Amino acid sequence: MADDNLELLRGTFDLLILRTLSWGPMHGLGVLRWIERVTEDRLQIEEGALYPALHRLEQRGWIDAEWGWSESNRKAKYYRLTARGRRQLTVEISKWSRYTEAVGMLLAARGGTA
Amino acid sequence: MPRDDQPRKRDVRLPASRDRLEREVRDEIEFHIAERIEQFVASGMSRADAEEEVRRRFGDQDAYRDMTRQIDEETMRQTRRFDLIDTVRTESQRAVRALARQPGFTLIAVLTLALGIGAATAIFTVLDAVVLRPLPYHDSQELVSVLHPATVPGSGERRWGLSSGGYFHFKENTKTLQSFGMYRTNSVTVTGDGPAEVAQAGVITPSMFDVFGARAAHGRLFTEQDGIPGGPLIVVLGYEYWQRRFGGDRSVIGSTLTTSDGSREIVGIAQPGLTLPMPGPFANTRAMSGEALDLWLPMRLNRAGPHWNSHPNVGVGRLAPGRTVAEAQAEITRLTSQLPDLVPNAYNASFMREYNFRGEAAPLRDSVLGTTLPRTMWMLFGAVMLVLLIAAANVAGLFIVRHESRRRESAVRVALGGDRRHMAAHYLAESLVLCVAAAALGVWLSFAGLRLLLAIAPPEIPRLATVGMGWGTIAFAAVAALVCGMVFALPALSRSLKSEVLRENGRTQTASHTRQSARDVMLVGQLSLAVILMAAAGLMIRSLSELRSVKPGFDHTNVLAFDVSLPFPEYDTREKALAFHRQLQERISAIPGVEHVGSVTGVPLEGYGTGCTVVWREGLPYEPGAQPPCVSTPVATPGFFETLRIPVRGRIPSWEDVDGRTQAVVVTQALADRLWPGKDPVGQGINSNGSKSTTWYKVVGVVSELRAEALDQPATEAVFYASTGFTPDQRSDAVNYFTYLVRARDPQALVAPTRRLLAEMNSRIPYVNPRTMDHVFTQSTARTSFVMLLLGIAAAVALALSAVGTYGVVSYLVTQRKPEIGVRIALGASMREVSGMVLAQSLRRAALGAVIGLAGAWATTRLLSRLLYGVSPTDPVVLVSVASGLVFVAALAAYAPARRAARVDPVEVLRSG
Repeated sequence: MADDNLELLRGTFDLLILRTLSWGPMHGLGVLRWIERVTEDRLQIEEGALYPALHRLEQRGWIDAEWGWSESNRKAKYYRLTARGRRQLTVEISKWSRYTEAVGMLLAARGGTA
Repeated sequence: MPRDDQPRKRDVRLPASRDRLEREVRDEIEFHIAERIEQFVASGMSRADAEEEVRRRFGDQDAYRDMTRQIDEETMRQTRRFDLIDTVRTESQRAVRALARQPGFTLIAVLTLALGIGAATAIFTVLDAVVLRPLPYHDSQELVSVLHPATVPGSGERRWGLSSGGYFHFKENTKTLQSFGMYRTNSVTVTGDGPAEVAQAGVITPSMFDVFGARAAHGRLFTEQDGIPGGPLIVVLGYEYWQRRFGGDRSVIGSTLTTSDGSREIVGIAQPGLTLPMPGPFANTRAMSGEALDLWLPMRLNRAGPHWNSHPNVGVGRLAPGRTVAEAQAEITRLTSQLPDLVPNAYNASFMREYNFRGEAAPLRDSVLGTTLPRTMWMLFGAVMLVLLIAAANVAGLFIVRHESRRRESAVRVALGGDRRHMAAHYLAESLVLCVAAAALGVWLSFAGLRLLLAIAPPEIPRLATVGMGWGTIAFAAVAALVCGMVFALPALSRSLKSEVLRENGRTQTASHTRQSARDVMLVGQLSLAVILMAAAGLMIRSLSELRSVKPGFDHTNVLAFDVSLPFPEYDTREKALAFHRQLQERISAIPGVEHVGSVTGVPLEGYGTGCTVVWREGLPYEPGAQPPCVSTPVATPGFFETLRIPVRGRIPSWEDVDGRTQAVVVTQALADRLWPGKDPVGQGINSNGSKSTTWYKVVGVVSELRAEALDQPATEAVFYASTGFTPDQRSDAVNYFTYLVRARDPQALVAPTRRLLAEMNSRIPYVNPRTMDHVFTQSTARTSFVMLLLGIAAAVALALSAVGTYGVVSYLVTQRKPEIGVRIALGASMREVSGMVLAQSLRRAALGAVIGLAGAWATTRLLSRLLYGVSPTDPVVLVSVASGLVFVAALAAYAPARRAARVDPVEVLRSG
């Protein structure tokens, strides 16, 4: 994997999963593939970490799980955003954009005394 | 990809278990790995490389799997907790709706149960406050009472208190008691600002506060110095009295309180609620009821004597660490036997022998409660528990019928795959909701019932004032509700968990046989319980009527009684006191409508016969070593016998006798029979000083038969003196305490004028406790009538519930047998035959119930024997009439369903079959 892969920032994984699931129910691997595809493989995620994260989100009631059949005809567990999860997603997105905005402002600022 | 946008219910998923969770996590991760490997192989990697790459990308599989599984297990626990609350809420809502759909069933069930729970709760509340709760003192289980049981010639078994000589001997020599004191109660007239009032005082040795572990709220309590004669007069105020009379003003400490026996310096305020325990014979109404005493006075005793053979004080000690009551008992017995050597002028060997004078140390609580009271209270509690049981049996019957009618419904639900546990939860919720509602109503009922109960309760029940609804009451009702809720759900539960047979059709009767026999057993059970209660109530009714038919020897109708206590310093001579009483009597008799007036120091049937005085005969000394009898010696002023219409043979002492000191006395025939058997008592001489004395009182009149102690006691032996010195005696402070008796057509109307008269004559004398002698008479049988009333109510409720139960069972039976009855009628059975058959069936059950009940009554009514008077616990008249009464009521209850059976239309039945 290329050296310019980004290590995932703590706390942003939940946001990514919720956002991904907002497009429709997916199994865990589907979530990963989606992230890989849309970020063009730039994020470096240890894949196993996905499952504790998914189950934690399920525990909070933000996503729901159900067993179904994959395209390859294997039994797979599908996750789906709940109404509460959808609300949580908007909260997380606004949090994230305020954060990046603040970081962006800091980086754009010029040196010197205020 | 399944696109399921409908919200899914949690319960559609299989119930979670640890195994399942683990399997699911493993499956999920295995899917991930397999898919990934395939993906990489498809993109051209070798299988081995692909596996290696997937493993690298995934990280530590085991760690992630464990982490995930732990999260799931936590989720499962949370969900379960949430589900439970959720289930309780939804199930109770469903239960309320289901019960509301059948208002008849619900109303009857709730009312029946509420009655049962209410009665049981009310009696439990009394039992708890009176019997179960420990005495209100610090570590009260360490307290022992020290008394002297004695067999008084002529009066029987008595429990006396301690003498001053005995007190010092015990206090100085006890090893088993770490602290020891004694006390008595006294009524003290408090004058000063405002009207005179009578306060209840505890007269205690200074050590008593230590024994009880009592504290001062303000100021100080007593020191040993305060118990030595000659010091300044002091008083400690009761907290409640201080609040009442002084509004809680702390500056009263150091000021003086004017009482009938002098001015006392207030040195402190006792802790709130402090009162004295009152073992049996030492009853002070206030302290008995558990209310706080008003004043605390130090008992001042002279160590050097003289000590008398007088036992007015209750001794109480606290066990030394590690000592037992039995050790204290042994020690007190030993110390008591030493008394003749140590206090020879009060005790001698012949007294010890003739009176069988003993020492007794017993747990204080047992002494206060006695043996009869706890037994009676437990018995009453048992009675109401039987009523609760009968009520519960009825409701259980209703539940069984109800489930019967729902059987097909639930069978269908089970067959269609309905969750049995869910159904079980539903039945449980229904019966719990019903029972909780019944318990709430029951608590409310018991609150009302309790007031009634306390209003009619005999005053001799200790700690009655402390009876009130508390957490104990609520807890009792809650437990009753829970237990009954579970029990009623049982038949439904056992069935809903068993697989139900669908093929049973409407006409099959065999399958419901077990249920029917369960109802039969319950019916026979409740009928027999009702017989036991009715027998107990019947025995009490007979006792009361026997008791009421006893002739007390005086006429209690149309007499007003009130108490007058002369303050000592003001009336310090016989002449002053006599003049006052004579004038008061004359002025009262001048009130229009007054027929007679007199006064006495001991009112018949009211606190009579606790103390006694020995009687010697003139010219007829007792045999050497024999003890004179000890009898009550009230003072009765002229007018007393006329007022109570007590027939006197011979002469009644007049004011001339009093003035001229003719020493004329009246004795009862019972005493005359003991002193001068076969001889005419009139003209005989008696005194209390000894046969060598020179002053003798002359018997001038004889009262034929007087029952002054209690109606169930033998005729009273007593000497009525026309007057005494009227000065307080150092041995008993209450000599000036007289009860006035006034006969008039309307005694109640005399309260106001007599009160006014007393105030006009001397406003410093309080007018105390006006009551009619009718009231006194009724109160004297209060214990019997109280128990009778409670048992009577219990029995009546039990009988009514049994009738309802019989009606229910027989009605159900008729419905069940409708096809059979129809066939019988079709085959030519007459209406009489059919209804006779149904009636006979219910009578068989009633007869069985009556027989079992009689056996039960035979075994249990002896618990009542101490409360019975003039009737045996197995009185055949009572038992037979009770049993036949029950059968009669059962027949009545079965009459309507029997008639209904006779009117069954055979055509309709056969057609519908």
